[in-house]
Amino acid sequence: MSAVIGRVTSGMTARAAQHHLQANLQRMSTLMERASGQRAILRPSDDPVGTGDSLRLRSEQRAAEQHARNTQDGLGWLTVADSAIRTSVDLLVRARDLALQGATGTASQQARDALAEEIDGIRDALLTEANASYNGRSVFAGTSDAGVAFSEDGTFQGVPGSSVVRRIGPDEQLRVDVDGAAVFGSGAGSVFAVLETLAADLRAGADVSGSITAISERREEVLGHLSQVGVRYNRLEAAKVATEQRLGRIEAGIVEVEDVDLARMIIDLKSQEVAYQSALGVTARVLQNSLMDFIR
Amino acid sequence: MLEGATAVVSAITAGYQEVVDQWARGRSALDGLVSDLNTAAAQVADLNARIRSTAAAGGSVNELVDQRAAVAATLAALGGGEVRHRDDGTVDALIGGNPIVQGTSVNRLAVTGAARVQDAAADPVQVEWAHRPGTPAGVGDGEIAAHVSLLAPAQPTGTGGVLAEAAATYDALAADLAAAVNAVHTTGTTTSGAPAGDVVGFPPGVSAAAGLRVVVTAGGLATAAPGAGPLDGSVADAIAAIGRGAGSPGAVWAAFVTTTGAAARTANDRADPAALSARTAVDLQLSTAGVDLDEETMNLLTYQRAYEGAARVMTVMDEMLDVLINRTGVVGR
Repeated sequence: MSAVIGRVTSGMTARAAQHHLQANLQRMSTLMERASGQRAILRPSDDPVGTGDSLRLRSEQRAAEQHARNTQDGLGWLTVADSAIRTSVDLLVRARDLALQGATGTASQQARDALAEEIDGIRDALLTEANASYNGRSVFAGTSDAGVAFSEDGTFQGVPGSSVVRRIGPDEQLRVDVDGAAVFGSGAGSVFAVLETLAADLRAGADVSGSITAISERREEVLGHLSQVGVRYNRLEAAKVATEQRLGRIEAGIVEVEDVDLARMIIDLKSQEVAYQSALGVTARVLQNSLMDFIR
Repeated sequence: MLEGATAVVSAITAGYQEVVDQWARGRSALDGLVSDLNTAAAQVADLNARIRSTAAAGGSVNELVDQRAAVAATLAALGGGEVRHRDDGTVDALIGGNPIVQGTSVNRLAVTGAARVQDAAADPVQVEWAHRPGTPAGVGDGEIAAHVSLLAPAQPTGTGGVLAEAAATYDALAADLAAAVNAVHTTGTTTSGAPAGDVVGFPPGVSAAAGLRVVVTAGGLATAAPGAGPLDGSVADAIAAIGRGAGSPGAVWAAFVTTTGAAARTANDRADPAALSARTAVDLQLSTAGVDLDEETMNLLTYQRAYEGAARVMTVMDEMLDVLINRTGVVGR
């Protein structure tokens, strides 16, 4: 700067010194701000590209967190459905055993009445299972808000054909409920109607072989749904792991973009401090002497 | 979800309000600067008159010229322009080729245009001659020009004034967001089966970003598609999907933030060389105009020695005269 200027005055030297001190102090304050805030980007102008990345990563992070919550919720739904279906299968096996006992000609009417009584109990237990709920919503009722999937008389209350889905990834949705009408049947073919018929036939001493076939068929049907639930449960487990891994990658990306490298920051700060101190020292030495000090 | 929506809406309105306030501050600062410029011009004209009359009377005008130079420097810092010297010792100051000071007469500048950023597009802020309303004065330099460009209205190409562009982006973002969310939301039904209304809205007559409000209540939120059952969530999922994609409000916002960040960075980078060249210019000026203590001391010493020399000569002459007057005729006595 002063190379092209022939003449240097004390005022110019003082001005230059002041300017350099100010610049040094500014750099130091920026470094200090970053180091104490532990953030590399304090305002978008610090790193526009990094800011863009940071915004994108943050929105991905929020989405991935919601997907993780959705997956957890889906696992809850399927766990409830799975246990309800398993219990239902057991109950149906028991009902079939009872029906077979009743079908043998040696059973007395008294014994058949007792069997009918137990079948009634099984029907009620099945109704309870069919109305299993998770978080206040019936897992077999689809998107209905009726409260229960099957009413007391065994009528399906759910919204036919509807399904409860959870978004478990950016482009992936999965059904987390089970169609109650398909599992337990509806109308005259429903498991409740079949068991009612069986109990009535037992009490009346009629032939129950039709009911036995119906129960077996229903059991096969329910088992089919059980395996579907298992498949979907596995799918959710895999999605949960994938989402957690994605969250980890996103968080690593955020740290890389937003956080400061503390070791580097401290070295920078230290060297800046040295620069500032030497600037102060040099300024104090240069500005205090003039010709006035050497003549008397 | 409603809390989240309210937070987003208030962040948008607060950001917009800040831009509006900053614009208003810039506007009132411009008024102040132009009135400063007029005052400085009046001072120059007044000093012109005094210099002319003092010079005509044969007095010394140096101090008055110094004063005028200082005021003219203020004039140049505010409005740029140039100064021309005339033979009678007065100066003319020109801004955009037109005289603001001509001898002892002053042409005043005035600020016209909108007082709010919302009206800036219809009525742009400009600095014009008070005696020629409607024509911009063409202030191309100095603080005033910088303020005028800051207050310029937004352009469709995005090259308008920084603050107006920011306000326009906030408006566009608010309008886009409201339109996108409402369009999806109104296709749904609430949990009670009623058709849904808008999620966010703004009162008519107010710009979108300033008036954006959450108008839906918890019971009025529609998450279900019609006919898919009361507890269906497909509309909620579709609303969530608004945030993704190329033209989504999220993408618009990210583009705005990065563009503003890049612009601020460029401005910062440009400010450094500008400050450097300004400093060099001041140094060049000071290197000829400044005072150096060492030089002055040297000069002082030179004059002191000359004075001592002159005094010594006086002593010698005094001694010579002493010999001539008092010792004449007494030699050898």
